[in-house]
Amino acid sequence: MTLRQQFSLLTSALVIVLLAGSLLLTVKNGRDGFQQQLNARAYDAATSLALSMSRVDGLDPVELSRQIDALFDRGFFADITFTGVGGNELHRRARQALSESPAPQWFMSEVTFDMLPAEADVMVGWQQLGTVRVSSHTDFAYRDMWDMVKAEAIWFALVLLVSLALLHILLGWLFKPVMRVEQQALAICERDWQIQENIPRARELRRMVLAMNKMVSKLHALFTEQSATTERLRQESFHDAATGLLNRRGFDQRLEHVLQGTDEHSGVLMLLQVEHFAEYNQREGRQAGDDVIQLVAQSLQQWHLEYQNSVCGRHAGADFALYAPCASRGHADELLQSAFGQLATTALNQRTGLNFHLGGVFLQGDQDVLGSALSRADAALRQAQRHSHARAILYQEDRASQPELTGGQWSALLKSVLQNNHLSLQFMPVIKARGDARELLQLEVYSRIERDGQSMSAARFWPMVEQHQMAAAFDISVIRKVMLMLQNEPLRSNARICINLSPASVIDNAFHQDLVQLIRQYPQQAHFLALEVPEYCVRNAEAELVRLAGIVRPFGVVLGIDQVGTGTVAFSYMKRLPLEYVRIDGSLNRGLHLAQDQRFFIQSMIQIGHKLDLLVLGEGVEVEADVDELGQSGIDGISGYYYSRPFGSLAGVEQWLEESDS
Amino acid sequence: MVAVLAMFAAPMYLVADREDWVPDALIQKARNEYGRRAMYRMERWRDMMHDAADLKDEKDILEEVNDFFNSEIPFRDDLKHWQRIDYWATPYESLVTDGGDCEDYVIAKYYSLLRLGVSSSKLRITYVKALDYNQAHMVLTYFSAPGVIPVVLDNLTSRIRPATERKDLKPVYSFNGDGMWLAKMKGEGVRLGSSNQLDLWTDLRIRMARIGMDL
Repeated sequence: MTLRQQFSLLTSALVIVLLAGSLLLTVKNGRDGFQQQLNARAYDAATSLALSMSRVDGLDPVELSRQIDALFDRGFFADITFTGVGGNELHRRARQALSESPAPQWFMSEVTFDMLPAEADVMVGWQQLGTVRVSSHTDFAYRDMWDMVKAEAIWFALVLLVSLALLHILLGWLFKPVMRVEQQALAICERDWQIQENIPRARELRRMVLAMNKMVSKLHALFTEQSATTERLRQESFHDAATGLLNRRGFDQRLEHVLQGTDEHSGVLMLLQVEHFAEYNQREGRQAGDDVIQLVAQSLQQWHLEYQNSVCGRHAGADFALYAPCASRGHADELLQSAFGQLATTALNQRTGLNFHLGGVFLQGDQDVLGSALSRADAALRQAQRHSHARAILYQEDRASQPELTGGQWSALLKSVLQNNHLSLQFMPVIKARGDARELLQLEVYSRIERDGQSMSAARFWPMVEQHQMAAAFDISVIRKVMLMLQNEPLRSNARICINLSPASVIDNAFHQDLVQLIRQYPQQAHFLALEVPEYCVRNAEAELVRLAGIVRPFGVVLGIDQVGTGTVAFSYMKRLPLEYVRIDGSLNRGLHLAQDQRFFIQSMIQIGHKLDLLVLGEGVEVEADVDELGQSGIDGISGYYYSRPFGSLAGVEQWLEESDS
Repeated sequence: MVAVLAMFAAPMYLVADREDWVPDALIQKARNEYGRRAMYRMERWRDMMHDAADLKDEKDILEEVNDFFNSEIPFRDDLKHWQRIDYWATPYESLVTDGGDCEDYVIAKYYSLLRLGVSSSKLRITYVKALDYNQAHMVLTYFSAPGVIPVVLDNLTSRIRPATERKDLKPVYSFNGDGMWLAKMKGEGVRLGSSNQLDLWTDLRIRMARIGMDL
């Protein structure tokens, strides 16, 4: 019950109690007054009747009875009886009960008059002839009293209405600051730090509003402080202080996650070494050496801008490592040459006279070992270093590799997949971290295509989709497919289906329009949809993301960020974007139970997310120790091979859930 | 004594101590406020009452009471005695002030007879016209049975005679001082607190009640 309702109830009760009391007094006083008057009137009437009857000549019975009739017909008396000395009734007039009751029956039975018949003697000279007995009737009294009660009840009803209306207005005015505080509190959840300008005059409310303002400012400051701390921590743990690139640990962790992740991988790993750097350092001095490192780092960062989903790191000294997703060997070679070109034109040769070499290896498959991948890349690097000039060489695999597709063939394949809808989807369950039963929180969607009876993961074909600028079309196709599936077999649990959007789609206006059209077709299914983009996408497309969220949120579609913790963007984006959840990158969750500082970093990220009322999820978890660690850090949901592999259908997920329940 | 009262079918309150009929406190009050002679008159009233209570014949009681007040209270006009046109005095007031008019005799006799066990249904207070004086007058009438010719207790003559022999009086109206509702009205009147709004009879009853005499 709201305070307003309680006040209204109290006022009503008060008025009703007043009404009841006042009515009771009115009725009681009225009753006493009427009773006295009616009794007195009966006495007067009896006296004067007896007096005038005593004067009748010759005791004419007709005249005597007419005197009684005359008085009775005035209508004020219920009963007039004339009795002889012996008690014999000589004449009597009594009223019939009225056909129309002067007041409701209940009223008349509650309020009773104590009517006493008045007696007077009729005399003949000195002798007593008989007695007249007169009783008043109570109809007029009941009628008048009932009118009084009605009038009073109406008056009180009016008072009640007016006082309730006044109360309503008064409370509305009083509660305005309270409502504004409520808005303020809600706004905090929306990452909006509002300060109330209008401070109310009432002392208690004034304090509340001031306290709320103080709290909002404090929360804002706290959030800013913590996100800054966390960013610094990330910087220190995973980045090289001199260049800003990932350090060895950061790079290896990311690469290991790619190689051993939940899905297939397909990409090129490159190692770069500056030749004779130690001698150069000795000869030219430490500062010159540092300058060279900076130059290389800058070139790599420029290259990274072009390939945003790539990973760049400084392994040690003048050793650098790069990883970029690609579709095929040919594609890998292209990437290798582009990196080489970038370095050759901007950094080393002309200015310093230093030489450098680049060795790469094309990695494709389900699982790979970090050490093996690195040693193959290293072998390619050694091969390149046999040449005195700068060189980039891709490692030649001994195993019989499959025939490669050319660019044209890729294009034809992808077009036919779109046309024939040969896309197949897989679902990775995200399980609620708290609670005993396995509860489904989300389903991550992985897309695959079929080629010659072989299934190909997104890691393998997606680089080609982006190269052929078909990302938006593929995204739409995936979303449509999910909507259709939901329509055919609605999800029993209240989970969200999370679809990755390509950064290219986010900045594509045509995609926005297609997306809205598609969502409009499936308004019910839209409430189960979540769209997510990788964190690195936020840096270039924040405005577009805000616009996209504005378009889809009215339909119940929510927005999320994945690969959180890997980008170089400040966490404050979480505050600015209208997000529902953030998904911490698997490379950070992997081996969490072994790394103290990493644990602190994860905890900080979770706290930041929770302060902003975001759902914080973790992916790529494979061992129980990491699940426990994440759970203790307060994460909301976890996915990974620890729980299950991806499922081919929604029904498969639900069946698995039921089985694990029992 | 109790047996005698029972024979007269007396109301139960008559069984109460006869000392209450003329309370000692009232006699003391008469002495304090009006002097020794007033006290003597009150004592004579009390003694008369006690004597009359032992009489067996109701007619004797009537004569005892009639004679006592006719001889004890000298007639005084209301206007001279009370400086009011019409004032119904209590027996106490009449005795201590040593004077009263016809109503005051009637009231004193009525109260005394009631206390001595005469039923109120046999007594009527009667408005009459005194033909010899062409004046308004009041007498007490006693009906030995319903419907019979009553006897008249009058302050103008010392002997009690049947009404038919009183050619000098013309009856106008008589009322029974009893009546349930009047008793009730008295109670309400006291509550209302303003006796002058009531009729003379009720006003008198209230004043009587205040000095401890129930009428």
